[in-house]
Amino acid sequence: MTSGLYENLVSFGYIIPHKETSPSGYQPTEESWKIIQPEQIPLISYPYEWCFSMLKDAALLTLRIQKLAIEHTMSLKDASAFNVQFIQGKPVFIDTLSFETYEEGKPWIAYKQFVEHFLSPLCLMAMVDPRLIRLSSVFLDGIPVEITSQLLPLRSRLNFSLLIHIFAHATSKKKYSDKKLSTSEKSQVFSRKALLGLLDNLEGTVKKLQWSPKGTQWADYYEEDKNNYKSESMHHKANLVKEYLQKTKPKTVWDMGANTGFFSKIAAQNGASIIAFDIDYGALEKNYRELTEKEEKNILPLFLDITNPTPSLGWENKERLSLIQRGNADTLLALALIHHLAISHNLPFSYIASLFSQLGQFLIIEFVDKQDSQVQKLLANREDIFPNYTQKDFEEAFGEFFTIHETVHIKDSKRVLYLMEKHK
Amino acid sequence: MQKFKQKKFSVTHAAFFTFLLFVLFTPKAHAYLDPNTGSYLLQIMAATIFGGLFAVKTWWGEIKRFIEHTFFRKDTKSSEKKSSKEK
Repeated sequence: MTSGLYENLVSFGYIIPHKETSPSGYQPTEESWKIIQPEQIPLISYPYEWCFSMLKDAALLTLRIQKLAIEHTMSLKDASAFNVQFIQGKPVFIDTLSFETYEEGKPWIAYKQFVEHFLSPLCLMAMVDPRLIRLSSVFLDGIPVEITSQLLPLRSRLNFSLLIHIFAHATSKKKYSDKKLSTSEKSQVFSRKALLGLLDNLEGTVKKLQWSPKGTQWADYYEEDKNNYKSESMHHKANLVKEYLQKTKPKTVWDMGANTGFFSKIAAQNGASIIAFDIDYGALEKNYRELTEKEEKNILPLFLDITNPTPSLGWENKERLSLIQRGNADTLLALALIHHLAISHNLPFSYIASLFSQLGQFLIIEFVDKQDSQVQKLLANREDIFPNYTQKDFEEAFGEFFTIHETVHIKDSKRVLYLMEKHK
Repeated sequence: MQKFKQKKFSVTHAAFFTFLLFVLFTPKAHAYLDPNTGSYLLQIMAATIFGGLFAVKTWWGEIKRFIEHTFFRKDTKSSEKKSSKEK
């Protein structure tokens, strides 16, 4: 605190602010020095729920903090991606206790962690497939460079920085896997300039990694007008969503299957805090970039596969919480989603209603009739084994968990928009 | 009674010294994360290379600034004046 680093980090908005506190009923131990209370974060998200640019921004923030720390003769003692959270549209470092005094001559203790938590998944996403960030949920300590080096294409070896940080790093880890550092190796001098050079290179390497969301299934959904929305129906649906939101007055909205965030933005206009979930990395990426550009603070795009929501992971399965454990929303938006769950994933309406009743109080949900072109497309290559996919069955199944307040046909479409409230 | 007092005294001292240990000595960097032998050695190599390149980049920036300052100073000043007039 005396180094001035904390004030500097707070002034740039890089770190979560805290206040010193003395909670009643807490007996300080001999080891405790001060008790700090950081500002509360509305919803914790994990790196395996982020899109490419979110991870990239989190990586660049970590490097900026480390550079600033060195200026104040301090250093980050870990570089875990879990130490970054997205608050009001921006990445913020949350581990106030991750700093130690920088001793000139010592290398960066968190170098390996930075490479495996950030550089490794970013390379895989940029050069192989953006979905490979999901590996971070298997390797909670970072994707090992030994694995990344095997998955990356040959051309990535032409990038000198990656040749060192990933490929040579993997070889070095394998070569010295069962060896200890000798005294002479430990005492090798590692100048401040060398460290700054390393950080500068890591920053440049991360900045140069690019991934463009073209060609994913959903990223061009609205633009290409391939869907069933004619402007009249889209306009009517948007107005209905607005109206339902005004009735429910939510503080938190979870937009399930948000795509590039068209309806999330409508919800944000009402002052709610939105989580824009989607399964498509292209859509998430487009949404995040647009939100960053427009400095929209109330929407957080996150990856979610509704058929396999983020599970609890780590030590005793308590280290990283499942989506359901992290809270729920005042209002859920489930627009143009039901047919994907019921038909593409063969899920009965009652299962879907049960899940949604665990996630939110109010539900704004769109029923898409079997005659709708989008449903017809899903049924084009398969036998129609869904005799119960009807509006009546839909209402009955959801009626078990919810009270239906509003039912309105969307103009010029074969869709119905509902406003429901969970049974008390 | 004397024994009890002695015990209390030593506990207070122990607490005080533990506190001092925490405040005065930052833990060794190696204590928190295992840097991994291979990663440690690779980092030294990487930092030697990139540290060197960084030094060249910094010097080159300084040389460029020096040249600009020495030979193009008038131009820079006149262009600055011009732009301020335009404003």
